[in-house]
Amino acid sequence: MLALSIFPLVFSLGLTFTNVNLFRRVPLRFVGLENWARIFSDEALLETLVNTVIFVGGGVAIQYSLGLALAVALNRGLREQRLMRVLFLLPMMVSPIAVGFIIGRMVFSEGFGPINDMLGALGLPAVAWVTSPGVAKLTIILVDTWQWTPLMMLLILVGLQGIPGEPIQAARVDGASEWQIFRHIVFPLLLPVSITAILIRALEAFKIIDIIRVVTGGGPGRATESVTAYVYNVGAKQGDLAYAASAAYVLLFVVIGVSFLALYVMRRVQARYE
Amino acid sequence: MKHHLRLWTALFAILALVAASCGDAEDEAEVAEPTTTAAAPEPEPEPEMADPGTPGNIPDPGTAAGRFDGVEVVVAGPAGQLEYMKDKAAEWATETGATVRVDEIPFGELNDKVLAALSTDTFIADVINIGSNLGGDLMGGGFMAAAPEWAQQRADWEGILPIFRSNQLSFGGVAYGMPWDGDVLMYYWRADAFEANADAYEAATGNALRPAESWSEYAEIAKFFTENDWSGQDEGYGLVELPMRNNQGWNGFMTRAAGYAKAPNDPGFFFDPETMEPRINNPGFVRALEDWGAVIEYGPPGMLNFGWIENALSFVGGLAAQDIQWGDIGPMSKSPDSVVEGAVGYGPAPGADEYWDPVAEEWASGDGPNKAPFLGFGGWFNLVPATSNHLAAAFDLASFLGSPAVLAEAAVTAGTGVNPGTAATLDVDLWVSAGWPEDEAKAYTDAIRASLDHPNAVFDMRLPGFPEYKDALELAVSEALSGQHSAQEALDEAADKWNEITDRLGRDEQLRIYREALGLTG
Repeated sequence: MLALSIFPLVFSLGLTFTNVNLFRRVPLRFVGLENWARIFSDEALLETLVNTVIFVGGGVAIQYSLGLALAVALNRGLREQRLMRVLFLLPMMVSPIAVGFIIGRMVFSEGFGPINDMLGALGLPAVAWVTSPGVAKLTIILVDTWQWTPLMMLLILVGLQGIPGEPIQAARVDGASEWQIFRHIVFPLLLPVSITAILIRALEAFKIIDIIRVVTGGGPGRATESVTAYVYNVGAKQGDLAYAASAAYVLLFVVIGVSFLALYVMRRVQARYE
Repeated sequence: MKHHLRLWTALFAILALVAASCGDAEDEAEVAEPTTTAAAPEPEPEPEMADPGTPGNIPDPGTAAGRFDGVEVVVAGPAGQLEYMKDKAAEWATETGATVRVDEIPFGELNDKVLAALSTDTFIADVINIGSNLGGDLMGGGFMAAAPEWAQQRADWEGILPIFRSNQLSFGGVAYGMPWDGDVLMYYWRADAFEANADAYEAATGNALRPAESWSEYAEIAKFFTENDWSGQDEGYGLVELPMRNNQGWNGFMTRAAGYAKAPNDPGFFFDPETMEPRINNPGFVRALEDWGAVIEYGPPGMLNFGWIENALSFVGGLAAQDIQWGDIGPMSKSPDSVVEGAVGYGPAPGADEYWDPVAEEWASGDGPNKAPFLGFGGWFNLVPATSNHLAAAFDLASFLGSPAVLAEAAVTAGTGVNPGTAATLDVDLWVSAGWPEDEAKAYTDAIRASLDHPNAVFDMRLPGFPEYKDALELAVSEALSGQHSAQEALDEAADKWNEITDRLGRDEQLRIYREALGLTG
């Protein structure tokens, strides 16, 4: 714990009060809160933070909805369930770099990709999937969704299979519709698993960088650059480790804040059903 | 108590590990040296560390077979294009008795890894195959060993074109690098399509169809070919370029901007060489970006996201009538996947009808379009870190790889990443012997020579902090091309960022290095 977690945390916190730069041979100096003060005037960091929140909010919401729908379908005894389960899990097993290239750069290619081809066949105009600032954000979310919906599905499926059959049978005997059973029995019982799944995925999604680097390189402009990509650029490309560490701490604080907020909201929702 | 003891023991162990990992690199070298040289029967004495910037202090190892018995030389370079180098290094190893290990680093991480390793005195390789635009950081930063005279002679120093000898391979008048690749961005066109559409073009525009001399002609040709079916495929476009951020956006933009903003009477381009004030937001650069934005629509869909490979494949795949690319298009047009073999025209990049004179602060024009070929990226070359444990062996290998025979073979071999930049690689007979028709070989090598020998040619930036300057500029260009900001707004923002970077790195020192890179004294 000390070596793996506490030491790097304390070490990087210490970095934020220094002038350490990988590529400049300058004497190590204590700079106080200089790096932290720089954060407040750093518009690029703010922009990438907003992008990241959009990726996490949009991506996790879609992934949860799709994962829930797929898990419910599989749990209902879909034929060839085992085969389907394996097929659904395949995207998760592929490296994000490969996913970025195959899905992001090839499937969503504006000139040669099958999606624009299909849109054309339907008489619809081609979409600027990676060159329009707004649409490019959606593309990143869709690529991320393609890869990570199976994780949601898997976790929710485990939750569904743990729900006891008696209350559902009793509700059916009482004449409840399938929707009423889902809304008033299954969904509330799934909430603990759902909260866990959403949190796990959100924590991971906040660190998104690999797909972005391959699909858009953070562009057009800075439209799809995430905080992690920004921190990588500042730290690894510009060598400014001290400021990169400060910016990384901002992400850490945001993640902690969002996690607490999500837990609070989820518990309020859960309390409504109890 | 037991618990406390365990905690302190663990803490001590961690501190010991940290201290060990931060240990003096020279200590490691002292330990490593006997294991690498012990097996050699009579190894030549090698200095442990070169004095960076002082040539000639590495003894000539001679040319005797087995001269590096038992020595392992590590080469690091970009993944995916080192196969040829590996073969040649193996030949060298057989002859010298050394062994060579080639570490391939993904292209996108190469600069970061090399800089990070050298900055922290961490060993990365004895020979580094790297792009020229990191030269400011590497050679200017004092990380590299100066090339000894004997290595320069073996690499046929005088046969290297002057622009590479003094810009790519040297810094501050001192030679560090060994030659490998010579890069300049050029203009390619579909000669067959130009011939077939000459009448239609003249009827549509009133002008004769000829390879573009200026960016305005290039735009008119691009518009015509985009609006007319010429390729025989479902789709054909007027041009293909390199605008992608974090890819080749820097090179794509600078190739165009050079004609608008490089005044023939002024050596400076990126900065004012007297004040280090950025020029990238002056009217020349702004107009270049505006004009570029206006022709993006004549490229294949999604071209804003095109890097090197998408660009090259679009052109040799027959999708575009014009291309701005490095010299690789020549050999690639002969590859089995190409549909344009024998149908490609070669020339220097077009120029601008008018250029911005930054001294007179007004637009000016000459006899014809102002051309300023851009040596973007500046070519791959081989450097030897001053911390190498085997300096003589490293320079011996690097000079062998840069010898005329090896480079000539590499230049005509696809996938080596070697473009012509030496007398041997620009010899028409070489290309003819590789199967090229003589007229095409002559056109190709003439176009490269015309670009490299051009008096107004611009060599890529070689300043410490280049990755930062590049990031800021590429962001601005991408924002302007995608319509998020006007060209002026975007470039003003980039210029502010450049000033911030320059001030942080030390304006006087940056100015000194910039002037040195331009060959200015005083």
